[in-house]
Amino acid sequence: MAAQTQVYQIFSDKLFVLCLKYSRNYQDAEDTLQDSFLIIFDKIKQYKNKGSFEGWLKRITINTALQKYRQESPLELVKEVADTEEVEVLDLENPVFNIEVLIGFIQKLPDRYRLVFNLYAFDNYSHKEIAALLNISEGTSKSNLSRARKKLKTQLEIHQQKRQKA
Amino acid sequence: MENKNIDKFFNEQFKNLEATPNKKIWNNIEAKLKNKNRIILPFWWFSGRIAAILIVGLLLFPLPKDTSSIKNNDGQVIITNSLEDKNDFKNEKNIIDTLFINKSPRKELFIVDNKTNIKTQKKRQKNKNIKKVEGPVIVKIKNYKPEKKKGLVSTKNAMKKIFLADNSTKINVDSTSNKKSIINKKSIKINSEKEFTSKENKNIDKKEKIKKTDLNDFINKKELLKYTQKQWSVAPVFAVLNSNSFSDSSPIDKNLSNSTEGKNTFSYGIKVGYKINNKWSIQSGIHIQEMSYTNNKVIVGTASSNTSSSAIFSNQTVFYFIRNSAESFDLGTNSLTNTISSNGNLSQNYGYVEIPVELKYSFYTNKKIETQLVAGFSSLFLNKNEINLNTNEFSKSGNADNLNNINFSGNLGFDFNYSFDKNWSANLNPMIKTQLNTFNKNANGFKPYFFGVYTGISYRF
Repeated sequence: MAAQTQVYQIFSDKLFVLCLKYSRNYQDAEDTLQDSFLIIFDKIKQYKNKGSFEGWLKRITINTALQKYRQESPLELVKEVADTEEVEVLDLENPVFNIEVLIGFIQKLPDRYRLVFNLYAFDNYSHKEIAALLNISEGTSKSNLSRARKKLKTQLEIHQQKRQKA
Repeated sequence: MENKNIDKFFNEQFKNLEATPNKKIWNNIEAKLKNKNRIILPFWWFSGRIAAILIVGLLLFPLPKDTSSIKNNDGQVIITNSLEDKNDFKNEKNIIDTLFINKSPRKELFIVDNKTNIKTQKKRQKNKNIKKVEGPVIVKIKNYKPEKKKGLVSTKNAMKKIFLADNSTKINVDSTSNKKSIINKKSIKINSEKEFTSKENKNIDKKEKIKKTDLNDFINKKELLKYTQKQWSVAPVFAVLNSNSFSDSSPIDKNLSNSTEGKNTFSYGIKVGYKINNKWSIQSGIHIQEMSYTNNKVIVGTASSNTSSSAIFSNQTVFYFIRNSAESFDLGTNSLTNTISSNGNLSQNYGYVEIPVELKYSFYTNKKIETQLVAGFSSLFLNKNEINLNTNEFSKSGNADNLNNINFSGNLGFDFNYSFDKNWSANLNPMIKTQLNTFNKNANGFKPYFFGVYTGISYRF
């Protein structure tokens, strides 16, 4: 137990942020963190000192999160067409955003958008890899990413406007 | 703003962000892990022990040829399993250990900074509002005076370790007790690590390594303590004994040599143990035990009083006994005119109240398992002395006149303990006990010993 306690102590804070970003809400993130660590301790023998240990832990956590929402992912009713890139200018140069608000924005995204955005923007997965992971086409992945960005941008704009008024 | 900038923006905002989960998460994980271990460990360890006992048993009491090959295979299979298991465990431990050594120095800095962050969180928020451009405050490590910094590191580390050892995951020191407390870790500028000279870094590395190993020792010791604090134990025990002798002669009649067979009997009683320290303990108790030997196919005859037999039967009749074998079965030349039966069964049962005093030495102990070497002696008080003679024609019972009322035995064996929890444990205790002065005369070289497997459920308090 001592070794496991230490692994948890050292990595839980980082992995929990990952869970928060990939999950719908705080409770889901807690569940995912718990499930991930159970898998980690179960499979720790399989880690062969190849690559960074933290990277290995992150992959397991991401997979656990994907598992959760991949199963629950509803049929996509919207036609998947990549949106035209908008070049609207928004001053986000020196924004003041509470990190919790930002996490909230990500969590509010539809499951698939959130997963694609996380994988692509934060964890450097390519559209090809995302397509394979989520069992969707590359086109869908690109379209989801673009929609996710658009939604996030709208949220940021609204938030900023509210702050300016206040 | 271009779409890619959104990615960049979020990436910057989330850089080095850490969030402390509620401690109930770890409690859940810990509970599940413990449950899992509980199911798996007993199976492995019990089968390992049973295998060990089987092997010892087989060495001492070889079975008839037709089954021995199968039994041996069984033993081997189980042994290899347990060895693999141990190796795996070692490997796992090694991996984790090396990981810690690699990871630890940098991590500790994070932890320290984390706490200072909490303290300065309010300040920072104010700063944020005023200095919009700067965003999160940057806490540069170089801003600390080096000496002070070192002090901080060590005390915080010490705190952290105590928390670790307590297993209570008190990472949530967040005084605001806000569940969603998310600490912006952007404040850490890793570049500032450059401020340390390489020498300093090395020193810290070394210190961390030493501390880490100490911590492991500490945790191990603490976990062991949980199970070693209780000093007294009491256990009802039951044993199956196999009576044996170093020679096949008979203590009843010298003519019965090479025909004595030991039988399985039992022993039951109460064992009391006292733990002197982590390694040594003593145990005593009180047991009722029986021993049983038989001689089959015995020629029985009446004899005059100067017979060599030690058996005294109720109606004062003195019998003599001769082993019924091809060589000696010669009625004509022998003076066996008084032969009553040529096919008698003679069985001798004697029982004792046993009070053992034994010293135990632990040579392998972990959280659940304790393995001890046991040596000592027992005082045996005769409480049963029976000889039964059964022939086709008649049955008689009597007793032996050459048994000592008090005698002693030398004991040697192993004791395996498996702890269910702080108080309860199961133990398995294979012993060999050699009796020292069983007979006061006419033993005919008969030296009894017995092999017993004692089992019991022990309660510590």
